[in-house]
Amino acid sequence: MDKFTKEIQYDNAAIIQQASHYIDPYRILAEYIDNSIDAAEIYYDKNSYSRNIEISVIKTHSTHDGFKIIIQDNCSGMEINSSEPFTIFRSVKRQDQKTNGMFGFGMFSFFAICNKIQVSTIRENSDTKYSFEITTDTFNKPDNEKPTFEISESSAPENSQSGTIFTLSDFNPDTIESINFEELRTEIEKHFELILNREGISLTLKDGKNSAVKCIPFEYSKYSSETYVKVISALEKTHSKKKKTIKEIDISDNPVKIFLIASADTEFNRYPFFVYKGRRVTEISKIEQFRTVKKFQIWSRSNITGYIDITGVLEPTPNRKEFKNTELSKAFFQTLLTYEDDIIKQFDSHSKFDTSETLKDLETKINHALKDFNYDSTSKSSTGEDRDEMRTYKYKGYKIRQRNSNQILTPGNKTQKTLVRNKKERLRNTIYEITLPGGKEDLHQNKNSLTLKIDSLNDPHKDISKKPLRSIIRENTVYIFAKHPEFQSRVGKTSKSSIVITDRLENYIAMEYITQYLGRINPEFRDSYMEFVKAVLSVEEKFKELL
Amino acid sequence: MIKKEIEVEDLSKEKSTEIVEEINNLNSQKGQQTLNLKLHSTIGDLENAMAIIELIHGSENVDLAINVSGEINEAGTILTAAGKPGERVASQFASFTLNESPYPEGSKEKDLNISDKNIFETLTQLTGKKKLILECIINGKAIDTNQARKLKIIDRVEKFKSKYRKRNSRTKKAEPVIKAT
Repeated sequence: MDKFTKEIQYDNAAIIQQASHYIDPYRILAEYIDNSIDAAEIYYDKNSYSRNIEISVIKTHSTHDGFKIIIQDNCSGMEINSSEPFTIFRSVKRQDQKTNGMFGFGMFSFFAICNKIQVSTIRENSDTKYSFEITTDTFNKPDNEKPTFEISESSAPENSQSGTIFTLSDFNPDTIESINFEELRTEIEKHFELILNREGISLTLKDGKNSAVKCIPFEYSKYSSETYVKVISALEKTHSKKKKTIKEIDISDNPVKIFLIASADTEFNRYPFFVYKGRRVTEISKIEQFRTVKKFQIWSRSNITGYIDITGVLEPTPNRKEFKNTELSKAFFQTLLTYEDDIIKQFDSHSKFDTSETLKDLETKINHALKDFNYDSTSKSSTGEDRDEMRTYKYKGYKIRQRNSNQILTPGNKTQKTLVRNKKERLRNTIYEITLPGGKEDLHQNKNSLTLKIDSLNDPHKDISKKPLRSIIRENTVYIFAKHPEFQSRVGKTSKSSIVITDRLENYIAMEYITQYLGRINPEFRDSYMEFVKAVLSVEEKFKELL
Repeated sequence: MIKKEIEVEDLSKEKSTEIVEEINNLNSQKGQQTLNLKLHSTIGDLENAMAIIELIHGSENVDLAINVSGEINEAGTILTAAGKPGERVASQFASFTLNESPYPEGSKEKDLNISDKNIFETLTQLTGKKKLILECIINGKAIDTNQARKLKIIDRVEKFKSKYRKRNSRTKKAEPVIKAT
């Protein structure tokens, strides 16, 4: 048999394509902020920095040609080693438990939004300043030519502090419009929440001529709420299903911290999320590996917020949408399920809802009318594409032996042994998967089974900015607050003791129900639905004056 | 042990939700639980059946017992096959559909369309009867309880017993055995 060697070559421009995986421009800017935070780790100890860390993101207000975003810090600077090549996808920070960088690609994420990055850095305790730039031309080279870039070395000005400045320029025109610094602030405050809580670090955003805005972490203590704090230092994993034995895994070196709060009358609408090395990974309810049936009871409940710090136990994938499948990850998700009842027990006693039956007749009639309601929103998804998404189902079956038809069985052939019937009972212990269309909605999250309840006892719950809400959704019930001024203005005046349904009230209830209904199907548009209804109500008010 | 029973005619999303909720409810209780599904001329979508199967097969303490009567479609057939071996019973006149439109004679596994291929693979893995399942899908005819038993879709057939029918008292006497001394 002849053998020959085939060379594998990596296309020089592949890195530019690779960057297109970054869809969210804020995620890209967060990568550079993340680099700054990593470079500040050497000053961090016991929840505070030994020197004041200042990171700022500046957007220049000018024409397309001059549009720039600058990320600068006063951290420890980049380590530039002239004798070693720059290796993409190999991060020196990977083994460092304190820093977040691990994939060695973040610096090149800018290719998704612009064509040029200029870097200027001064290392801690060094009087040398290094500057370089990388553009798309750096990589658009023939495959036989290795990509290179020039680094300028000069003396740092006297008394200059260490730090790095990243300047992104030559933006794609579409991206310029899509970068809104108010949204960037929200994203940063969410993404770096735990980092911003540390003492001695400030992150400011400056949008052109406007004054700088400081990013502030979410203040859990500001809300009167019930707190659930738990430290998990051992995980449990099924060792043998047959023998019903459990294996315990010690994680006391990197314990998992659960921190959740639930408010009785505030709807945070910021669902609990996973935190890895101080950075937000994703919402807990969005992780498919976590197979919970209590999503709406805990993880997508609008009055519960908080985080679970899984540093050292789970490892996020590069897209930060899920975690790598490991024995620890399986054990962790299995263990987390066991805490759910405990969380519900603690938070349910803290909920404020009208459970009286004062308006039972009215509610029964409304719910009866809603029983046959089946808004066909499933034909189109939120993005307008067919909602024919695929879902994979797992089940257990018998191991199927693949027979090789070319095999000739002779008395001396060992494979003949496989034909001997095994007397032992066959067990369905092989896990198979089947992928079918149209399974995006989980059955236990059926949106069509929402019922309606009118809360005439409590004051309306408030949103995070203390504005009263017209309605909220809790598990499978839509609560409409009768004490909300908008509701009160639509109640019939003929009776003092009971609610009289007017056309306007009917319309109001219908709009609130559908807002919550659609908000559950498309959570990303939830605020838009609420805003739309608010606008309709104010126009309706004007019409009332006219008529 | 708790045994819950749900009747299923249309395996719709609503019905599946009801079943899923019951499984979750049983799951949260201590000890071994059994959910008994009475499938009667069941129709419905495969994904609804798979959602139930996934939950049952992922549960450590809930088993699925099946009672079948009438004509059962593909989703119902798969749901039946996925039940706990030994706990899948059908009434004598039940029938199971694996595929409604037959394939030309001599068709092979590779000729199956995607939906039939899904049914073929799932049923094969649930029953271990690859060759027979393929034959039935290619034939495109509903199968009776005897065939379903051979295919390991069910374990037992409950025969119809007329209360007016007299028990046969004639029993054959065993021939005396003469041992050579």
